Amino acid sequence: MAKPTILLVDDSVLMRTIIGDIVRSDEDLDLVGAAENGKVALEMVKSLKPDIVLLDIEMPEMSGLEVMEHLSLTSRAKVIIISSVAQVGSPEANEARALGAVEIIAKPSGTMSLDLAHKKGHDIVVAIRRAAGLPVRS
Amino acid sequence: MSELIETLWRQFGVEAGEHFDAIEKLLSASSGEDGSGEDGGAERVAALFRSFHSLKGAARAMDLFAMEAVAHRAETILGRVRGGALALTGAVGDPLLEALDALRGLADLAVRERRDGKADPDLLARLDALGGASEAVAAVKAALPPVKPPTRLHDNEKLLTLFVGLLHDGMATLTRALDLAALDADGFRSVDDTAERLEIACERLNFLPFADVFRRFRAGLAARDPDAILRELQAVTLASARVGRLSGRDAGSAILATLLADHNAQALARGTARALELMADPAAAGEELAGLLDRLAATLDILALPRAAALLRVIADVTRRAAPLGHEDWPGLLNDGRAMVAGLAHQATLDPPEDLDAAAAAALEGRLRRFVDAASAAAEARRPFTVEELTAFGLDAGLLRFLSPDSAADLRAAVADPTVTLYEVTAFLETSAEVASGFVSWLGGKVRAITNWPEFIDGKTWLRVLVASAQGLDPLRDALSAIDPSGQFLHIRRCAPSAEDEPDEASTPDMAGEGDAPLVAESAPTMAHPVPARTTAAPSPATQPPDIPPALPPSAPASPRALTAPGGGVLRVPGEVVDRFMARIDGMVLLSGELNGVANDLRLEQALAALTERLGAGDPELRAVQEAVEHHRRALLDLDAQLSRSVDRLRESALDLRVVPIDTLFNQFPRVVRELARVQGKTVRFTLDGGDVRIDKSMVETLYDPLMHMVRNAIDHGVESPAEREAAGKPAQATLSLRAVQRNSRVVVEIADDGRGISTEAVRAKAVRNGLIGEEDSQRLSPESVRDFIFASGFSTADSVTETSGRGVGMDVVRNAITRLGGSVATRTREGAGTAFAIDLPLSAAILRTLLLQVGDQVLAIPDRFVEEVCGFTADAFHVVSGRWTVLRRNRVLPVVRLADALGFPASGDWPPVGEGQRLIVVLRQGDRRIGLEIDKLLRRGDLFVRESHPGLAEVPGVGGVSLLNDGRIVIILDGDELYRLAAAAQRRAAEGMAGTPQPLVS
Repeated sequence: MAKPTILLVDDSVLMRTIIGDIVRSDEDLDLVGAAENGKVALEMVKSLKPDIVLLDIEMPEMSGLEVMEHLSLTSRAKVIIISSVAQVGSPEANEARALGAVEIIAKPSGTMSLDLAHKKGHDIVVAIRRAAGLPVRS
Repeated sequence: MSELIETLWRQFGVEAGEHFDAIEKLLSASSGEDGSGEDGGAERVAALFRSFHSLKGAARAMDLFAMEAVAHRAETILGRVRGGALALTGAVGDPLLEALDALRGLADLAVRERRDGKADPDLLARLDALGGASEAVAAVKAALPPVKPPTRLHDNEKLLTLFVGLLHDGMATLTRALDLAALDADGFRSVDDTAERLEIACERLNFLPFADVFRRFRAGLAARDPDAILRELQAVTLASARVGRLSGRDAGSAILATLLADHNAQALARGTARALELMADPAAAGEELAGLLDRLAATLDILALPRAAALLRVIADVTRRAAPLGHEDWPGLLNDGRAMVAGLAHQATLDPPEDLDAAAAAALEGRLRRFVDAASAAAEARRPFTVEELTAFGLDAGLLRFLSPDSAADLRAAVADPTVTLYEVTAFLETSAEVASGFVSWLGGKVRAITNWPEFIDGKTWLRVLVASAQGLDPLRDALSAIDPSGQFLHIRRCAPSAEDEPDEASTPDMAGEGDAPLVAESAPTMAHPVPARTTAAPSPATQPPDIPPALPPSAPASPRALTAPGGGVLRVPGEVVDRFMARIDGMVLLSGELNGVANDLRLEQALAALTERLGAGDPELRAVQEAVEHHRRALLDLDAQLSRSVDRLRESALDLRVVPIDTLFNQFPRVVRELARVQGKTVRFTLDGGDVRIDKSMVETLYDPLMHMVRNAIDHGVESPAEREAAGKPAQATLSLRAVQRNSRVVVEIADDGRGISTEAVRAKAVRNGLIGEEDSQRLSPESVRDFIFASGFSTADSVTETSGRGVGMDVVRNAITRLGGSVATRTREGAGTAFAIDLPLSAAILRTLLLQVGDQVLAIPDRFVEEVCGFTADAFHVVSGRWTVLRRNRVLPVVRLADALGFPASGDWPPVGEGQRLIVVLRQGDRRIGLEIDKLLRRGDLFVRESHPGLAEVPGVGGVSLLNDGRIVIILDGDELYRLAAAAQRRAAEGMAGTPQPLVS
């Protein structure tokens, strides 16, 4: 089976590096691209047709929720929201759920102490694997 | 890894700087005016919010909590501004500028020193005052979500217009499917045609999920499944609302919602009934409930009941997260949610439908949010520990199995609490009921038991308990002594990371013997196998009681297989285990070498360079991908370098495992000396010296026989009887000494006696008598050369055969054994005064630096000192000179031969070489002579442990010993001298063969 392809959308280079590193720590996943804003993300979704989109909410140009609105019409990709804005019960989280987000998780923290073993069990990896129908390591 | 961290810090610095500049600009732009009213103001606020928000996220990612705290407060304030609760006046802008300055300082510190700073509490308080209670902010945000015109769909405007019209006009037709009974064949076709046209249009517009909706609708229609039809029509409603919003046209969503109103209300009634069932049992409220609530929320969206939809989504979200936690507050919350859901079905049927009470819904949402925060904090604490974490706390990795989520949470709490310390208590509770009950009540008192586990030590099951206590070690030890005055059944040790507590322990030497040390000594045999990591938990040297000999327990007096760990605990490990371990490490070294090859593969670098050049300033997406690859490659290189270093260190430490104090050998002799002397009526004072010199453990085994022979010889032949000694004016008691001295990488073992010495004349006469040398020749030899005859085969100077001599082991065997270890024997003697033999040995004769190579399938090793170099030659470099195959190396003719031919192995491939590619030649040296050996494959250099080779294998010419690779394959270690002889012989044979057959054409 082909590895699930993943597009990462976040306006912060730092976050793209950190989250990208976490995703890449799982050899079952294929990170196919990273976009720095919503507009680029929509273009990349169109050309790369990822299985899963990791989406930040607070972004310039076009917010993550706007991106979702478009994606809910134009892409079969499953969307995982990675944002500290979208806490449980927040309006953003509700909106994201209404637009079909499969999972909402917080941004990674404490990166400096993350080793490879931690990364493999990271929330992000778990969420992606679940969305992709891959077995989740305990 | 560290390169990644470096990258992150760099990115953090740059990104934070960008946000600081942006914030500064935005704040100064708005400071002169009241920017809250106009459009530009709103955008500015949004940008400010985003920048502070991003700073908060970046700080959090880098563990900069002070910075996160400041940025969070600024973000909260801007959230209020954005929500309209606060105006961006100077009273708000100035504190924000202060926050900016504070953030700048903290970020500078972090980038410079890689550490968190401190936030000014006054500033935090001022920012808090502006931000208000977080709950109020959330309410404001919930009430006033940011409204922004949508980014329009811009693709294929014409088709989109057509599609919207088609969708709008098709709604009525689609809803005919709801009344399946009234739908005749024509009607059916009409509905399906409409859906099909919409599906195709969706495909053309790339509205893929919408196309899926129509496809599923048609499938439901074909199957005459009313539930599926309704479900997909609801999906059409929502999707067309989105199309309408994004296209700015009426896509018919409202019409469809109206047409579906009754059905939606019925669906809501059915759904809420099921939800109420599920919510009645908190244990059952899982994924099914969450999914159902999400679907109900979608129905409520269509019914335009936003508060109810929002509440159901929150409950669904919490259900997904909180249900598995089994938190005690959950049933109550779920029950309150149930009460809200119960009225919904009815409220939806009212005209107009009635949404939930705003205050009640907000209150429950708030409780649910706080519940999730609390529950996830608890879950975090209950997260399983990693081996590294445990080791860092000074705990045994084996403990992992005994840490339940609850005890993990307890352990985390204990570790986080600076007032308590962790201790490990080992208890044997099956002998004394008083000790057992006293111990149990002690556990319930001043200490907090975190977990316990059984441990099988010395045939008995002990209980180990991990406890946390605010008391120090001494009071705890006193308390345990009061319960168990004998000190036999209860032991306690402090769990401390590595060496941290050593000084503390060392300052209380009087505890020796009543602490845990005896226990560790007893448990040593059980420690070796199941949990090797246990050695890290061994007590510090200071806890080793003085009454236990540091080297070996008395019950194991003569084992050469004991290893003294630096911690003072003694591990006894079978030699094969160490050998296997070393072989595996060798295998790891090999893999690490291969990884190094892959990581440093020039082709990758070249490919990346070519890619970079091609890309130039082109496609940013591709460049991002290329950067990711480049980043990954650097991380790989970095990891590779770290791994090599780590493997090297591992190897060095592992080598220590093979090294034991020579005492383990020496200690075997006193008894022998006493016994021999007694039998022969001699009195001998035996002294040992330098027993702490460490030698390879295999040498202990190999040296035992030669040393034993020399000790016997000294007593049999060297030491005189007491009467004889007194007559010679010497003390009646003879002295025999055995000592070891380390000189750099060599060790000298000396056996000296003060006996009669070796009579040169007696040796000469005996050598002549035994026919080892002619009488005349013997007269011409120097005394040293004469004395050398004692090492000749079968020589003995004793005239009578004593009980101890004549065992078939002569000094010739002694010398051979020592030579095999890479050593030599020197003799120093004076007639009447005594004899000393000095055995000079490498510290680890068993470790041989070799070149590993392959011929056919066989891995071979040539000792490094015999290899001058390895070179590659193309086939056309091979020439026949004087009937022998040669190559020209550094302007000199080097004879070459196939290694397989030299060893008599079946050879494959062409000889002489033909075709493309390089042939590998190992240049073997022996003195001034060189010969080239053609090999199939060069593996690597490697340190091998020479094992005693199998007797059968030892007969094979050229074989010096064997060793093992990690995969169990045997490596044959070639003997350099013998190999040279064989290679030269093979060449002669080849030359003779060549002379008899037509010479190949040589240019």
